[in-house]
Amino acid sequence: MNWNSWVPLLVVLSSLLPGLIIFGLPEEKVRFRIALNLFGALAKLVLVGWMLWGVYNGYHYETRLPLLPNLELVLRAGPLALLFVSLSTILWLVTTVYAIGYLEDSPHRSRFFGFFSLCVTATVGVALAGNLITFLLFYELLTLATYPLIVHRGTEASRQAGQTYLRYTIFGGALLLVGTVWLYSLTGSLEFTPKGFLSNLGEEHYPALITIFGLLIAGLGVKAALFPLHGWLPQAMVAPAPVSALLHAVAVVKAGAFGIIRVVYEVFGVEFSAALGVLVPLAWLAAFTIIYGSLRALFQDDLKRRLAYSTVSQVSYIALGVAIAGPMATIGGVVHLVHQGLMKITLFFCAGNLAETLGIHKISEMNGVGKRMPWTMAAFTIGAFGMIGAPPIAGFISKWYLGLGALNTEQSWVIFVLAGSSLLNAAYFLPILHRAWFMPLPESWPDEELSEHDFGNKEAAWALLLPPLITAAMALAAGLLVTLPFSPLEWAKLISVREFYQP
Amino acid sequence: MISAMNIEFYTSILWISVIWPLLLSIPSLHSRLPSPRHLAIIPAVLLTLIPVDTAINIPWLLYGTGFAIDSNVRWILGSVVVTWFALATILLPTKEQPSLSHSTTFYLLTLGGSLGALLTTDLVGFFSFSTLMSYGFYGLLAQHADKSLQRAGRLYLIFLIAADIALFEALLLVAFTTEHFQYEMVRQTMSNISSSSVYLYMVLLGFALKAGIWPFYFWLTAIFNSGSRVITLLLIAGPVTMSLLGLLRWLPAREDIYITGIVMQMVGVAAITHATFKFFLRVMFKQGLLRQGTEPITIAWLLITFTGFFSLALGTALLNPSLWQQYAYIVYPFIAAISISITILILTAGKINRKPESTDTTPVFITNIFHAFEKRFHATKQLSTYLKLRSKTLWNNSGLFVIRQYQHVLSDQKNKLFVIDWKINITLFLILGLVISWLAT
Amino acid sequence: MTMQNAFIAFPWAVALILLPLTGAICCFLFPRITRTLGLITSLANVVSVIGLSWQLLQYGSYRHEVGGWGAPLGIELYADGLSLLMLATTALVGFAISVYSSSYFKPALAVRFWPIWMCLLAALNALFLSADIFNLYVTLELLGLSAVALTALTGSKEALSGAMRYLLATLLASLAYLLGVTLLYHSFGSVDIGILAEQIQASPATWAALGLIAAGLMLKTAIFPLHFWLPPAHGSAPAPVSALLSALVVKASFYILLRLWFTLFAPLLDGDAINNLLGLLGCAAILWGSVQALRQSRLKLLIAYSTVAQIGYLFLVFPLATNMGSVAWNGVAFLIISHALAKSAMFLSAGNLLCFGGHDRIADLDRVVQRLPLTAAAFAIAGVSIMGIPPSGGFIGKWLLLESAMTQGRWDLAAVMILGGLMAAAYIFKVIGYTFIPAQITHEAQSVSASMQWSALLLAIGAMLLGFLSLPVLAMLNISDINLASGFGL
Repeated sequence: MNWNSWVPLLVVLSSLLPGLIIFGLPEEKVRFRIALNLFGALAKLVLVGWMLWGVYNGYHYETRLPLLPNLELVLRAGPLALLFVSLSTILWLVTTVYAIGYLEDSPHRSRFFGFFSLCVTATVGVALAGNLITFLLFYELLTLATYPLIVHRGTEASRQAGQTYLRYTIFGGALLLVGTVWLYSLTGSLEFTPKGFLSNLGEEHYPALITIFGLLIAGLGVKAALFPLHGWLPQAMVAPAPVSALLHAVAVVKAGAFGIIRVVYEVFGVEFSAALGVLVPLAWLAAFTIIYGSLRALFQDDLKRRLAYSTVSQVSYIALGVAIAGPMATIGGVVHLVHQGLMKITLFFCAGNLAETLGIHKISEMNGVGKRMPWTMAAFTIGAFGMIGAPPIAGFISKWYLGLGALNTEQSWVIFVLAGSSLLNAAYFLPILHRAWFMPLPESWPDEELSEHDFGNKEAAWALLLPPLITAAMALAAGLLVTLPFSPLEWAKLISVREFYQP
Repeated sequence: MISAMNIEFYTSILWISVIWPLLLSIPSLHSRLPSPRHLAIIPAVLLTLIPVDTAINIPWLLYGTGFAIDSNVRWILGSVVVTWFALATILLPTKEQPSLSHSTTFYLLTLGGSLGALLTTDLVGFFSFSTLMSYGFYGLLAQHADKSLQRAGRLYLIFLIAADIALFEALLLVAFTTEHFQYEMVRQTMSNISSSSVYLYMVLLGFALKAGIWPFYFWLTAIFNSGSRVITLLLIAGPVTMSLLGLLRWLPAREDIYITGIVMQMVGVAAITHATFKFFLRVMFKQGLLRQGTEPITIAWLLITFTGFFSLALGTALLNPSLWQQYAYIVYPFIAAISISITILILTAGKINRKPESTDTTPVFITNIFHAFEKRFHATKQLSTYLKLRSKTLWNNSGLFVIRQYQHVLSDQKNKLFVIDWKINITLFLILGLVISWLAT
Repeated sequence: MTMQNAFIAFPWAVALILLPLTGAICCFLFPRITRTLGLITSLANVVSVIGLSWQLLQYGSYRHEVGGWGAPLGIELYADGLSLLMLATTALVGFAISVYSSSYFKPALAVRFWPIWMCLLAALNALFLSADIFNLYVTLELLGLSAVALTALTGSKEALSGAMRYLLATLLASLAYLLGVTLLYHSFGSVDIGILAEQIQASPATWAALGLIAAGLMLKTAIFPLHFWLPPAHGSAPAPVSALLSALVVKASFYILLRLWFTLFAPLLDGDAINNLLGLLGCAAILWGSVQALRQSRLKLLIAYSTVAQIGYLFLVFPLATNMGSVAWNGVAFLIISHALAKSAMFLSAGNLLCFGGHDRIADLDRVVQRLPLTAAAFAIAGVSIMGIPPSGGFIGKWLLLESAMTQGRWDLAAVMILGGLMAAAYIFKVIGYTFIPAQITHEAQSVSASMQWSALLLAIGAMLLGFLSLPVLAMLNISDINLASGFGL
């Protein structure tokens, strides 16, 4: 028995099985449920670590299961897959701890954690997918698993948000399906190969290939929140904060961006795409989304909506890095996948803390919060500065490489987009920081439940405080210690070498 | 052997003097120590006094940065230490600010940033530390109770962000060209490439904004005008000095940049004339200058004069590189001298004499626009989503209404007779059979 | 091992027909234990299908002459891959529905339900095993009459009017079919499919027969625009009966249409026009059914219109399977099976909701997700298969159909399929969305027994698992005498 061919499947199952068990648990069994959750997260972490060590030593991990005649379900652990899967696993662990603390005494926790685990299963499946059909399968499963999380609260507003979410994502899924079937009927293969497998097709197929590219990117762009397919993201903010954190930093948005990376690099091949001429429109679209998202963010008073539009803007950095079609830009785009995840999840954790402890949902209510909740706001500050691109936090590194990539391929207009985006980011993040740290305290907070959540000297429960601090520290470390061998940047460099004809 | 031990000890002092203030800036730490601000400078003082040049390389931090000290840097370090020491002493609790905990945090952050910027050996490190220092300084400005100081802080922030963007672009250009970021290497490589003029402009622009060189002096006068001695001292010790130093270090060593050199000279001359004009105006219309002590705003104009001199000198050097080689050793002491002199002036300055807003050249309109912006676009509701609009038009359209009538034909209604419905269905059935048969022929 | 040999050699095909008939009679004769007898017969049916599948895997397609009298005089039973799959689906869905009905029906109704249900099961089995067109007529009639009787079971006004309409439609269709059979018999002197397939030639009689048979079967399958009887019948029947009708009964006439189209009438169908006509009707059914489903405010009617739409998908095999054969064929077979599982699960969960709240208004599904989690899960998972979203059997079927459409350049069909999927997602998620929120009016909740909830859920999970079992199922489908692309069965 070849043990190596089971490991990817086990990684997927390590959250599926606990999730299914949790569905059946009654509400009162809190400890058992927490134990199951943490067990699943830790098991996944161990398995991913094993795969990392194995791949570093030259082992090969691949699971193949028959799905259709001539098509298989493939789970393969390549460098790109491992990057995303490790990000997802670490952030899932942190988010689980946070969710346990956040949803204390909330109704329907079994249902929530069941779908939570299902969501991570789908994300890990998306990461490990070895061909486009497996990717499609887990991508759609992700849609289905995140919908109940969005409507979890059971109010009419959340139902509407769920309908909006579905409208966009099911439509995107249909586009992705059409593109995939068309591609399969043209080429008979859907495996992800480095540098793509389409460059051998004849010239007469080029119009069809361009249309397929458009369909695939549109389908993936819904989840990656490219303009104008981003409308679901601000609506989905009615969900509880752990869900927003997961959606924006780890699962849905990243799956879309990851899909774009996979399609451009490992289906079409970046040089072939550049030859087809499809990358320039993508670059324009991404640049427009970057600016548009930041502009919309300026006008929002609700904290989570502002962060949502910020995500719309930031994820397009990844698409931009892909579309610039140069090795440096690839590094920038791929590493931003990790960095934006770390920074954004910190911001959402802090927003959740503010809402949970003090009932703050709007920025205008945030005066002086830094004195009341200093650790939370410190983590928020680190995340915000990272978004602006101030060194030495991780966001600086990704902007650095994106700018370098633009210079390398003589597309200097991108530098202006990046500069403009930094400016806009500063414009909507710095006022928040200013309010929090430098304004005087209000007379009372909107909803401070002193009687129940009297933390005394602490500012929030440990389970709520520790995750943002951990992710903020990780964001700082990712920027400060970039030249260490296992930093995300070194990894991104490895991936970039594989995808280009000259390193 | 003793000297070897000393070298090691000294090297560790080098990086300790940067890390120590940063460490102390954690609130729970410095609230427990007596006079933390003085404590923080002690390693830097040691560094100044022991006359040994050394360097240390930290390869894994920030792309491989390092710290170094030599005689040039020591001049500036000396002046900076003096200023900081003075600052540490006069930063006392006042009526408006009984607790100094936050100020100390920002103070220490700024100190750590400026020391780091001073001592690093490469561009990335310089950029990172000066960012830390600038934002720390802004923090100090913003959390001051004085309203005009807060407004000045906002102005400073705008200039700071613009400067940072320009410097980041310059850094990108360097990264594009070379892998090494040490000063000398950068200076050499950047002078030989085609886009070095872009680099030059970016560097000049960025540091001019940061240092308040004419004509970007508005934030400087705003801060001086609101007149806290502590803040203005910090300004000297931190941003201005470091920016002048940065300008020195980042400039490429090109030979033939006439226009830039001339422009810089003109800027310098304009600064000097403008500043002297304003300076003497005040002196002329105020008698008994020395008895009452100088006003802070006058000191600002003096500073602008000095930076103007600096710009003039730099322009001349750009025009005539041989001059640069000859007189380069003067520049560091010059910067140190500026620093010390302004420090002394500020310390001996008299009481604040608040001027009415109209004579101050701070562009208030900038902050007004900000507020108007916020008020108008806060939580706007009229930006409904595209999709909602479309769904409304769909439903209002009569398209579905048509289907409804159609359905009445094909399905049953309560008042319709059973037979009528069936007629249609049976007809359709027969037609279908006929069509299929016909098509098969 | 003689036991194993005996197991294989046993005439399972005959058992499949005789067992339910016996069961029907026994259920009628012993009203007290009718429930138990029904369950036992259903279970025995499942075992028989397993036996038959084992037989087919060993020996290939199976022919049995009833009473030792072969064609053209006697009746022959024929089982190949397609009929095996239909039989297996019938057995599984039938068993689940039996389990459900054992708790659903009160004793007064149960004594009437079980005998008729067993008759229906016998008719279905016989239909899938028949090899000549007259036998098919007999089984069709039996099927139709049992279905009508079951629809009218509760005796309410809507049920009676719906059943009446269904009766008249099905009789009309059967008459047309019989007329066609008569024409063929008169022309060629035999009713056996194999013999007819050899001898058939184009002539006015044959054309007329084709037209009549096709029209009759299409009326029975409720393809647009002849679907008028389906929503009232399926909407007003009791839940297990609706499940039976949607999942199995309409598929039976479609199965006959498939068989006859590709074996018997294949020489006549040279042109593309007629296949495109059927494809066009299929597209219209998809669009019409989905739009109507979106407009419904009652759950059972929504599911009924969803059936109308899904049947449209099945009709897309006609334009697609002529040129390239097997991909579209596989796709349709998959769609039939997964739709059977999913639709029955949906109807059973609708029945649970009716039992629970006394109504099936969609907008008033008061937080069902919390109070009946298994039912809500069953509906959602079945919905996933209906929408064609992975991982489910419906996705595999849709993928195969899309693949064959795109390879043949039929972009119109592909576009309609995608549109149908999107609209299906719209109406199913509409329902699911309402299950999460509280209703304006709350109501007294009745309890729903565990067997009812679990049977619905297990059917839905079966539809989902089908998505991973495509290779074994397709391998079974390919058990037949001749290559599928050029017709099959002799």
